[in-house]
Amino acid sequence: MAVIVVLFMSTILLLYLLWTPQGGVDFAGLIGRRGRTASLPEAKGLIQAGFAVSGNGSGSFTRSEDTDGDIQEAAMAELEGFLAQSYVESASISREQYELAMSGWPSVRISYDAELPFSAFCAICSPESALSIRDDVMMKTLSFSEAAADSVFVTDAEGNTQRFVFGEARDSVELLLSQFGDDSVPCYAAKDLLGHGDAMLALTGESGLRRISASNESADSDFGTDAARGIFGDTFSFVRRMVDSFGNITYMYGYGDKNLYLYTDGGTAYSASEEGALQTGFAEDLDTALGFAAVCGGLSEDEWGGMRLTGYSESGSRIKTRVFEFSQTAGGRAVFGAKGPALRITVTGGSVTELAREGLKYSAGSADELRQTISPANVIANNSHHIYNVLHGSVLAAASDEAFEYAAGETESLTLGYFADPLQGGAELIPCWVLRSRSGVRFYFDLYEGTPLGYSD
Amino acid sequence: MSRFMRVAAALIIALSLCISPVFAAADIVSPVAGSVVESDSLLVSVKVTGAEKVDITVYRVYYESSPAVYETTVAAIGPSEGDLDISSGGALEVSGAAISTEPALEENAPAGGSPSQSSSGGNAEGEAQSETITILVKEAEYSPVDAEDLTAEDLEKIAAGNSLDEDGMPVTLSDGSVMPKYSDRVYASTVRYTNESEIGFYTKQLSSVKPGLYKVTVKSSSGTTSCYAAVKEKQAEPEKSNIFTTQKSGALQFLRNVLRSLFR
Repeated sequence: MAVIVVLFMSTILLLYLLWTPQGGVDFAGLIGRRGRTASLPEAKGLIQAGFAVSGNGSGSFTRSEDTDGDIQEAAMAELEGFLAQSYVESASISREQYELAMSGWPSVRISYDAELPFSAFCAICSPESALSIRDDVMMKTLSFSEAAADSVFVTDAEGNTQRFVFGEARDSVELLLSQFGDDSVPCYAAKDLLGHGDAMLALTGESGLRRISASNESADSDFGTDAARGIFGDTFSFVRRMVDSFGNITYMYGYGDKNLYLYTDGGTAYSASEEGALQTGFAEDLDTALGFAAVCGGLSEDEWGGMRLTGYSESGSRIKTRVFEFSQTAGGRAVFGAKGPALRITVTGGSVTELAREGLKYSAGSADELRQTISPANVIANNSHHIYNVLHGSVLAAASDEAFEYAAGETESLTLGYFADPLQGGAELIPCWVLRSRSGVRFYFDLYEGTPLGYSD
Repeated sequence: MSRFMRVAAALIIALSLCISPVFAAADIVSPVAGSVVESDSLLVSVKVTGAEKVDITVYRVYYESSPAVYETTVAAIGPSEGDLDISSGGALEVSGAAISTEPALEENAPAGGSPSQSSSGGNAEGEAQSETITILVKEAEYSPVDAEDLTAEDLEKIAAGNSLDEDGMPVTLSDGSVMPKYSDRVYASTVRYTNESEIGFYTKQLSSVKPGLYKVTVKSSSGTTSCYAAVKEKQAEPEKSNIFTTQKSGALQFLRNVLRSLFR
């Protein structure tokens, strides 16, 4: 009799522990599978070059998209070599000095999608370095020049350049130039090609990129539950699950203290009302962001594919709010959607307060035969009215020359990528030119036709 | 004409005047007119406004290093002087291809256009005399323009194409020499670019370009546009130390180094 009672009570207890809000028993919970695989990508691998430009010292430049990451890896190794030295001082230099250093001598400059604190970048390259790098310098472009072989040049998004002088010279430029492969193409400043603007634009282009079919990561039936379990952890049992008339699912903890939204279009969002109160650094917040995203859907190679940091911003003085944006990659090229990168995470005071995620599953496959793309010059020229109207917020048509000069001046960079065109249950990845404006808006244009595909803030 | 026809004609004319015609145009963005480029490559960028087909040609400019030579030899036989051999010659400038380079030779004249003598007809008294005129033309020689000493002002003068200035004096270049005659020879064959949008660009990089003077010509429905650019060898690099000025005073830098060495 006692045995029967014990068995009965055990059964009740097991049902209480394993019963799911959807009804039914979660046997997977018996073997400890809660949330997705929490394997995190390395910070070093997330920071990839948008493109790199080499100068031969005679006014000629070539440009590489660095899809295999060789130039970026070499640049980080060179910076690590500088940081191993015992002396550094920095000074601001003028735009003219910087341009002369880049054009009058062999040089290499690497441009990044996201503007990062240079001190954080140095800490990622060389965690053991004893050198103290200023916290107030932001890096959008990292440059090396034989005009100053003992220096690196750090340029922010506004075009202000700091020269960091180390104790000993290195053969950085020669080593970096050797990393430029056959995919390098001639490039010129926009003012030389178009008569206006500063962006370094490729002269022409050839590509074998083709369209790729993709499905929503949330199409996996366990995705939502795993994400909820991963986020709410032990409190999952106290989470309310609600489904609206459209099929969108909301997991709510408390009275809206923490909410997880699973949308029918494949998007996932999280919000928390309580902010953290810790004084954290870039690396800590990045780890926090990645760790959170890993339990909210996974970030492993087979779950997410490649990824790269394509956007970053920070605010606040003592308690920092940092927003990290990550894009998936296909063949080394970033993938963007109509809402921008696939993953956006906000960390305040060391805690995640917001997350927006719209990942895709796809197989990049092999490239097609090379064919001519539309030239960057004509991407800007043919779409100047579109760019003008979006950035100006104006519905009235500007004069052609006015719109063109504005669009050329506002162009910060033009790189190859993919645009995820939404389809039922997924998307089609369309090869595109990604035009980033100085105000941060990204425009997407078909790589071969030059027609607009969309834009995102 | 009936009143209705007059009104209709007036309306058609007014409508035609109201419709603004779309003027297509082509501008050369690069090279900038009169620019001096220190590089081994030349960027050609042409902006085309409106639906238009344009022809783009790049020429290398040559100067007349040796003028043409024009010699005439006249042989005539007079009635009282027997056989006469009159040769006359002089160097006359010729221009263009107006002058045939083939000398007028008689049947018994030696080949090669060398001055020849011949006679024809009889030399008996009273008979009409004939003349044989031999023309020898040595073509002008042209050499590539050496752009080493050309300045932007020189390029302006070359582009203007005037051999005499306002005072009627020969135009001189910045090195004091008289502006020679120039001749264009095709360097990059004509390319036709078709623009189908409001604004389009033709862009091309010419690589391994030798130092010299080049001319880019664009022909469109609205006319022909040209510009000259001088390509030079890259000059010696400026002193590296001149690029970056010292930011801090010597005393302050010394103090920083001392402090740094103490806490190293």
